[in-house]
Amino acid sequence: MAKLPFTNDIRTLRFLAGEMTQGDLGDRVGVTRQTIAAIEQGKYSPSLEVAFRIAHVFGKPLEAVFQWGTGTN
Amino acid sequence: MLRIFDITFESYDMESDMTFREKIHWVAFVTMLLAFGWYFLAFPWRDAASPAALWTAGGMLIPLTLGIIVAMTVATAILAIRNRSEVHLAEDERDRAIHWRGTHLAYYPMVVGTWACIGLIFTGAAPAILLNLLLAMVVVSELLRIGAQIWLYRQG
Amino acid sequence: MTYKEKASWLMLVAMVLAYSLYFGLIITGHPAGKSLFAMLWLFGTIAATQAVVVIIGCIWLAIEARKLPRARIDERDRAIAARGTATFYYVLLTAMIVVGVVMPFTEPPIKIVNTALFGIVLAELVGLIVVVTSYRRGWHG
Repeated sequence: MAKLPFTNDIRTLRFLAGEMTQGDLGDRVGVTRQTIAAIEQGKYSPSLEVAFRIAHVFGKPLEAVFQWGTGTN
Repeated sequence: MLRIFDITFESYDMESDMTFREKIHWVAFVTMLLAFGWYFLAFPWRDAASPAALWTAGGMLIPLTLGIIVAMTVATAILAIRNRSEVHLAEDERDRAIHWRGTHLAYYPMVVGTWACIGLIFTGAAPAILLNLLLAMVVVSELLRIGAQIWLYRQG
Repeated sequence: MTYKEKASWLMLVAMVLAYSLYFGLIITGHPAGKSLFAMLWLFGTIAATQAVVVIIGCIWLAIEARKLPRARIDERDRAIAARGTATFYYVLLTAMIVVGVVMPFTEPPIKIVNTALFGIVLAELVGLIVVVTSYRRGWHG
């Protein structure tokens, strides 16, 4: 399976946000726990709306949550 | 420190890693495979060209359909009880994307099968053969659709 | 409009015109509706004409599209196409269950063939309508 051209720090940010679970984050963003897991593992590319919602939950800008891979077109 | 381990190594358990929707897909896939596997193996193919074969097919399809409905209902109820928190969750964007991609794949055997059936009518094939070919096409398409969706869920 | 959207509109209009003609003739009692091979000839003629029109139109649209920058199919085109084929699938599935599992018990072959053809055409039309609607109204997945 192709690797996504970006990475994310969602797992770390969840821990820093009072050990939020994947399910809690999913509820707040409007997706399932399994979708959050797939995003964290780099297996699923979320829509722009979901990406912004995740960043909003953590109170961070988008770039603090998702990082575009270096050397990627 | 131990808590970091809890969150970074959230325990992997295949069942809890599956959404309720994915579990229903598994149930549907296995049920269809078993039910229609039985049907196509048990059908009296030697007499397929006879007029009575159509009614034999009908006689087999009625209990088969009822069996599928009962099996799916019971399995869905059991899964709903085991996954109470997820039952009422709406389809999210990943579920929708998987749904569309899986169904997109099943489009091809459905189209090929439909044209094959139309062609078969022109050869004067018996109604029971026509029915079984259309049924096989529907079953193959549905198994491909559900199977593709399960594969996409497993891939992430 | 992107190339894909224009091609979808072309196919939609061509199908509506071609198959309104075909099914209109069959329903109003055209002699071709009484014989399998005469029906095949009529359908084949209309379908071939429609296909030629669509192919020529798509070639012309593709040539026009190449003159524009960034004319390649993108993720939005692919997502909308998948949505269209998914809709097509369910309509065709329903039609084939009626045609294949219900009709052989009661209807003659010519009616089964015409119903199957109608099922394919209807499925394709509904799929194309979903595609052009998704392009025009915007679709957020």
